[in-house]
Amino acid sequence: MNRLVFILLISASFSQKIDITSSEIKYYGNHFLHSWVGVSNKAKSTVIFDEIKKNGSVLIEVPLKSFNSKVSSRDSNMLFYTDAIDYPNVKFKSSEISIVNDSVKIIGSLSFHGITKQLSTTGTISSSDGFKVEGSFIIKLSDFKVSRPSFMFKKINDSIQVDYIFLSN
Amino acid sequence: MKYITYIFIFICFAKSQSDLEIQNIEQMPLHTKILWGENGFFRQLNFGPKTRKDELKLRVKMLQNHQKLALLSLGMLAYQSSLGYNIAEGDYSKLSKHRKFSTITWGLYMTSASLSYFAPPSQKYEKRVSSMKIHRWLSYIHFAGMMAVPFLGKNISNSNDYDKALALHKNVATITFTSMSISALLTILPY
Repeated sequence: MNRLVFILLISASFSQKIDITSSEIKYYGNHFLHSWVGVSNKAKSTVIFDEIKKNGSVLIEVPLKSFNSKVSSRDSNMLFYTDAIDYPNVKFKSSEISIVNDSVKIIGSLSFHGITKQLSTTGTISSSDGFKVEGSFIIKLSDFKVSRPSFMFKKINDSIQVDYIFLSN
Repeated sequence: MKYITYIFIFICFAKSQSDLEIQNIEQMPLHTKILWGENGFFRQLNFGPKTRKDELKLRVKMLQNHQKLALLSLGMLAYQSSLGYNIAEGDYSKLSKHRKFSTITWGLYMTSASLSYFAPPSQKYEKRVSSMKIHRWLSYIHFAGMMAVPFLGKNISNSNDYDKALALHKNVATITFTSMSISALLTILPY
């Protein structure tokens, strides 16, 4: 029994909570006339990383109003179409993380616009010079029942690429 | 327990209400402040949607119609310019068409401008100069131009100096058309 407790304590000690010091989440919007990028540095995250077992867990929450695309009327439109008044945040919670060398595959659920969908993303991870994880994934607005704004009689693209980077010193 | 639940719901509601705050409200354009500010004209009249969500809905609808009508009036203005140049070169057969279309163009433009100027406030404003901010600044130029052009056009036939009156009408119309064209092009810029 003592041995089991000792093993559990040892294994638990390798799982560490990472204090994310900075983050950047970008979304890429596209329309046949122009493309734009919305950036947020206001993500709240809880990252647990086990360097020995090569796994961990991630919980991320980002307020929609924190995204800045450098045009306030466009950001305002985004807040309207995503119903940010009713659903102010986008949340991601991992269910499975697997790390092979410096590659990380994260599977989890993304909650956006009141709808939760399973999501898989592949990125890179490094812990040699501080902790850093970055990657990207693509979502479809229609999957989350977000109506698309139109400009010059044409709607914006349904697919939105999301890039993320989380750093810890 | 029931009261605790009510308090909890109230706190959640109050929290969600704080999310409705307009970002950088001090940067709101003057005309929007006058109409939709805290003590704005429409607020005093208790006119407009009851919730901020409905205000945003109305705003989007108004601005989308503004966009369509503005595009149409830009096209009409281009056609008017071509008619005007023909008349200036001596083709007076185009005069009645130019007059007739001027009313339609002016009406379309003013409807489009009203939809933009009277729209409820945005959810966010910014300090930095952006393409949309320049778009708005240019609107003050072409709005002033559109107000003056019909009078300057009418003035040509009444004026003692035909050439001077024609040049003035032409120049103001050209400035109006140019600023409106740039304004339209700015909307497709990413920043």
